[in-house]
Amino acid sequence: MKLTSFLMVIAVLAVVVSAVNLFSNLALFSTGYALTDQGNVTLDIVSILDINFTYNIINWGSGSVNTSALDAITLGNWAYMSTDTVANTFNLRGSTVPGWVNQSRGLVLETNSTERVNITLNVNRDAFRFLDNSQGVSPASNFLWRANQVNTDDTGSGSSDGESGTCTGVGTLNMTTYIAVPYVPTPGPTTSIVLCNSTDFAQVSNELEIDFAVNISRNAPTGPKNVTITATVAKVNP
Amino acid sequence: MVEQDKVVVILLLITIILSVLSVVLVFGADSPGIREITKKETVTVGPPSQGSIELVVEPPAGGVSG
Repeated sequence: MKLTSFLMVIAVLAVVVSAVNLFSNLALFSTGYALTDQGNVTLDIVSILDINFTYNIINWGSGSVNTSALDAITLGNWAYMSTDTVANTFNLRGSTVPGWVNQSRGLVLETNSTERVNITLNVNRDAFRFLDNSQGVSPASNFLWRANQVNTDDTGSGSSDGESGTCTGVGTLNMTTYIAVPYVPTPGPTTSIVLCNSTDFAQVSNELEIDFAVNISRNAPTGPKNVTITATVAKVNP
Repeated sequence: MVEQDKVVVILLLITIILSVLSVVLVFGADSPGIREITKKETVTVGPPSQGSIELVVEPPAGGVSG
């Protein structure tokens, strides 16, 4: 009888201890233990697409088209200016006309993006009206561009301008012939011209120098001609 | 006497069951393997950048107006 009572007490104690142990383990679930063998990890990757003109003004000053000598080819005189070292010529078809100031540095565009980007260009003025006074002339006036990504720039200021390897998009960077920047009343990547469809973003290869040229017919209305060049950035299509 | 034995046996069985449950909880629940990774991409696009070309056209030097 005494043994049985003793065993009864021991059994009750065992049940109590086991119950306490079980509930203490249950408490672990509220402190971070997984309920299943499957966990989820959510990873948020933030990309920044950003470009900036670090050199943003080309100012040729005041000048005029030399009309004293007719051009046999174009039946008129016109001036041509560019920011590259090859064709810094004023009034290409006439004699030298003082006034317009030589500019040998194009606009410098830097990408501060965290991935490769697509860059487009447009201009906010219609050259036909702005420089040709809406009269058909030959050659038609235009705002023209070409780019370079050469480390040594026109002004010799070293790495402040183009950097080699910036445009990685094959065949998209126009580096030879000047071509027109499209006139876009409302800027938008679908109507602008592609400057480069894939640019690198490393610190040593994230700058392009964009040379500009302009030809001005003698029909150009006098007065200031301020033109805004807009560069728009977009994500590279995979 | 026999009834008390039965109670003791039942209590011991309950003890065993509770212990087994405890062991299962400790070793069974602690397996937080990562099976799924959800990648979310947020793209922040900066505003267009602008540069300018400035020049002033004066009256033609040759005296001929367009």
